[in-house]
Amino acid sequence: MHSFELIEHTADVRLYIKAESLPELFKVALEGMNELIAPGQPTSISPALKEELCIDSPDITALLIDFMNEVLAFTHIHNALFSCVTFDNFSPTKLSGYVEGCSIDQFEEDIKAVTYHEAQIVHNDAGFYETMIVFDI
Amino acid sequence: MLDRSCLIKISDVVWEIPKKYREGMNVPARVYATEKMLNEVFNDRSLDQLTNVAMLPGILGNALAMPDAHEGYGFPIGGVAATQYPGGIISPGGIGYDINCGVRLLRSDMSIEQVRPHLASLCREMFHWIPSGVGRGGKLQLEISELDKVLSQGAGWMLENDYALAEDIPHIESHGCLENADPTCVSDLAKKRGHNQLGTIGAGNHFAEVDYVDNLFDEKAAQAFGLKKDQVVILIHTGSRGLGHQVATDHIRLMMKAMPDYGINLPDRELAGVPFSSPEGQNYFNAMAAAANFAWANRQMITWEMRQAWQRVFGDDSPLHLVYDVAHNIAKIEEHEVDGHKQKVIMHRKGATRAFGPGHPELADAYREIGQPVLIPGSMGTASYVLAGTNEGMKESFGSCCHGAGRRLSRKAARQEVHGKTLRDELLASGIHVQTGSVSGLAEEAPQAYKDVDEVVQVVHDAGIAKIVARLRPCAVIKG
Repeated sequence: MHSFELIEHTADVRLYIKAESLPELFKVALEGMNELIAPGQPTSISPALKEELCIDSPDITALLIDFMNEVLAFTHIHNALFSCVTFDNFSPTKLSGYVEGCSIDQFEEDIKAVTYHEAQIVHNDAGFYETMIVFDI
Repeated sequence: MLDRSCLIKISDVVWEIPKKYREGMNVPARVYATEKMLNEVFNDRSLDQLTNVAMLPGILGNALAMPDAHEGYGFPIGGVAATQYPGGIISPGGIGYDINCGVRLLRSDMSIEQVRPHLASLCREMFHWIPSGVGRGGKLQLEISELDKVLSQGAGWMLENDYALAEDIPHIESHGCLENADPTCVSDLAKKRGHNQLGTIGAGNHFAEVDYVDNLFDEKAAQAFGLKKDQVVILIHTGSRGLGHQVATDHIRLMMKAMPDYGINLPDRELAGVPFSSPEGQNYFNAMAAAANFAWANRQMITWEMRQAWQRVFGDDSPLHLVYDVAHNIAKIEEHEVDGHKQKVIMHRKGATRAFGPGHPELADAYREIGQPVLIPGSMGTASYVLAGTNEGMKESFGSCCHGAGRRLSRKAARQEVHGKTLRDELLASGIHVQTGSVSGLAEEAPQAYKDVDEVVQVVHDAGIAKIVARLRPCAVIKG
């Protein structure tokens, strides 16, 4: 089970995410970001674009934010939504793999960056990994 | 948690959080606000964030929050801090992701009565000439080698390529170019994000707007700025687009890895900072300057597009002159008086406008006696202001003042309170034409979502850090 929720912020937008595993948490983070960028866009369309990922960061929280920022950059460069991620390797400080997506006609929200502000991945008492993420809009 | 009892009243519009409030604060923090405005400031965490800023290694004077301050990440938006040069730290969190987001004011020689019958067609021409919204590229599609020249030269590249007039350049902060810019410090991802974005507004709270001068408060300063009652002017608000966002993202990531090497531990990751003179600090400073130059080139290209739109409606004999262009997200080396001594400092302004007082050598001849024009955009449907920098501001706020009205409602709350199409109809009924690519995005920027800009500028005026010169009223707006 995994889920995300978009939450209010004075100037920007917060995203709360939770999942049973860390790779799932990364996938739900991407899902939540895409829902903000282009709400309701279908995710089952054939992927036409592919970008490689190879990221290392000081800790798991930084790895999540760095991963999201990298996909955000691809999103803006290609005017595309990357909805499918495959991890070849995944550790708390390093990941590799690729994202796949396809072009979209219109963005609903212009995310400037995914920030480290308020982000802290924790493993809660119910057995889920969770964190808050703040986007700079 | 900070509350009203933690603040010491310095004057009716200046409040201090003393250094002893929190262990680790290196300097006091000061807030510019009326007592009434303070209540809103306590609704979010902007003052807690300001006390984090006061903990920066090498910070000088006071950590400052302007009256439009609201919660950000790292610094509050509306935050100002000077750190020691060259021994202090540089913090991308004190500049923001939209490097050199800023405002530019153009003046026409026409009155609102002359322009009003043509507003609908002017608005359409502007929407045609000035790309806005997410994903819309501009007229210029630059190869990386040419983009590197833009990053080095800023507005100067636009002059070389006939997108600027020679008279524009002295009327831009830093003449539209920071000389330490180094394109090799800007990543390929950043260049890919920016290569087709020159001359584009983007989305969010960015806009190009037709206004008229509704009231003059200081005739002498207005005359120096070329402003008169009922004159039509143009405001442009945008920044360094995806290129600047990526520069900030890249270097915050690098700094977070490097901070432990320098023994720096800060209460918020977004305050990420390293010694200014370290390799990471210099790389960021030079990349930030390149992004700042990109932003000045962007606003210059939009000026060229605006001039095309204007000429299509009013002909070649009706020029648009640049009054001024100011940055409100930037770091620069400036000279200020600290503890009675003039010294160079690393100035961080995040959602705060430079406001140099009379006599500053960087000011254009026409403005040197008056002070720098300070441009404060309000929200759609309300008002914007032109102010002038003061010598008191040079002493009290490192020559800085507010940058806008400041948000008070979240985007979601604004959408719940306001319907975009209704807002557009209401604005039109009050004489304000709007062209936008996103009606729901329009609701997010409704006047209700912002603080009262009249109150914000009155605070900086009463504090003496800038003086009110003119009030502008909008009559046509284009947004992404």
